[in-house]
Amino acid sequence: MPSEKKVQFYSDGLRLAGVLFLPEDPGPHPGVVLCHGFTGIKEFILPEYACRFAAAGYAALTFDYRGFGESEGPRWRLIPWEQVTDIRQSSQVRALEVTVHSVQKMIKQEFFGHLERTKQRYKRIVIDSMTALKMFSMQGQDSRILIQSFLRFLSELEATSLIVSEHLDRRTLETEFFLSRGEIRLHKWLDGSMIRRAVSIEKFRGSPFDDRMRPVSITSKGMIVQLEAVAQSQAGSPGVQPRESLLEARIIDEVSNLIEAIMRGIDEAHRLQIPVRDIEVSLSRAMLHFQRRHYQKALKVALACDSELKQRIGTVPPPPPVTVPPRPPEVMR
Amino acid sequence: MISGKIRTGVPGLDKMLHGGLVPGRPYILSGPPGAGKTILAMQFLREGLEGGERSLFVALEEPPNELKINMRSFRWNLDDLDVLDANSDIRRFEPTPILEISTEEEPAKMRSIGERIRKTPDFESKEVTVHSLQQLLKNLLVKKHYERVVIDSMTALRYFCMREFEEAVTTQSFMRYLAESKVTSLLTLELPEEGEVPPEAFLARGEIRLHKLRDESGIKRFISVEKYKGSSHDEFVYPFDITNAGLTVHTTGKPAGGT
Repeated sequence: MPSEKKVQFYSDGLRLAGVLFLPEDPGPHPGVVLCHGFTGIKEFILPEYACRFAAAGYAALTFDYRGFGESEGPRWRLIPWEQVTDIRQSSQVRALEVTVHSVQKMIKQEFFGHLERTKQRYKRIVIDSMTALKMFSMQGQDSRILIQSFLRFLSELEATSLIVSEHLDRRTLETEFFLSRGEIRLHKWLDGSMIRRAVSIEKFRGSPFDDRMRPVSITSKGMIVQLEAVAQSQAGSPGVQPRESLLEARIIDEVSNLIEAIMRGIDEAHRLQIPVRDIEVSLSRAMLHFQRRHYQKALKVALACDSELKQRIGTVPPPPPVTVPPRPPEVMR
Repeated sequence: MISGKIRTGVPGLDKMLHGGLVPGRPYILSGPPGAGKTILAMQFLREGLEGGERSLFVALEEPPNELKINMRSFRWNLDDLDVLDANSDIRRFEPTPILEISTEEEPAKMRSIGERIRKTPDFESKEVTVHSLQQLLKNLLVKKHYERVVIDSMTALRYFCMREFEEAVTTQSFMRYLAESKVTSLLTLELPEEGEVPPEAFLARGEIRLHKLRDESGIKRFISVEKYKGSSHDEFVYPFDITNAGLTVHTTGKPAGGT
């Protein structure tokens, strides 16, 4: 049995109603648009044909022209050229497939339709969500360019837009995060058996801002930010993760370079037949710390190895062997 | 040390760079979104303008009208700054003519930039590619003899103006072109919050990195000089502030967390 779905699309800012008949298999399917005649509506005659088309493997759309049936638009008016426009716009319903293009087109039509109807511009737009749009509607090579273009489109509407987006992987640089003029970040973590929520501003071009993480509660009045309080983030919360920062990466670099230098030193000692068994043991301890991400401990042990090794090989150890890489206080645990 | 360095105009940073930047070379300014890259870059250009140097800002991330408004609170005189709008228009999905950014396009003086965003024209849409931008820069550098150039940002250039398969080679050739053009350029680079530094950092003559860390007391910002070919530099990470005077690096206190 073919399935029936109610759909809508926009033509010159008017919301038109349609029904989409889809074959059982997942598709993609070739499409057919079935248009009603003068004084007709989409429920009249057309469904029979649509069912047959769907049974034959086509996605079939029936719809009401503007001013007819369930569609918006002035009644008692029939201008063939407008109906041609309606038919053309029906291609927005691509078997319910939403593309960035169709979303953009819908926003544009709604925006200017609203402007024409009410003489007012939409001042606020929410895109909920960019993550979904990216995942379902723009796979493939050009997604960055599509996002750039979509954001440019929103900018040119000169409305204030809020784009909901999930930062799934901190290692990747998501286009909307660096193109946006600001970022409000919501945090959520488990504190014992309580769910804690907080909000922070990460970026705000052209304005100073409160840079603390503030607790947030969701009440029957919506979301309330507690401005007097500061969120006590717990280890492992999203608010704490940024501390695993590039600065920590510097320590990692430092330790791994040091370990490599020691290994070269050990090879050298073997060549000179200097006993270094104990240093090898200490080095493996340093490597174990390193593996367990105890970078401070690893650095300490490795530094001791390094100076001991240099002494034995006979090179004079420099007073402070290797400069400890600078790090912000946060990294110290 | 090479004599005749030029100042970045950021209090404290020139000290970290042991006098400033060696002129005529490209430098990377990296950091996560919201670290303060654009402000630092603007401070670098303003320093040039004050000394009568011709300066160019190539905007790939932000429309120039917003840039102008955002910089207003610093009360810097940027009137004579040339701004090249290299933001691509809304892409067309219908087969309408796409206009590659003209290689004859002229930058606008900051003072003449309007309040509102430039709108994509109905029938043609401007697209910036790395090739057209490079050609355009080539023409501009010959004509206007810029001494300081900012590209904001290299990330946008890579993401929006190149095909994915050509990224590595094209980025390299673009940086090489800048190096040969003998202009002192500052290229901003977006860093992810974690993980690897993008390859542009390896190609430049130096890298100034901004770090952004969050704890209970708010966002803490730090700056470090990661690499500086042909000059000694400070190895430490120092805290900095953004106030209405721009960035100020605090090199007088002890380095951040240094032990």
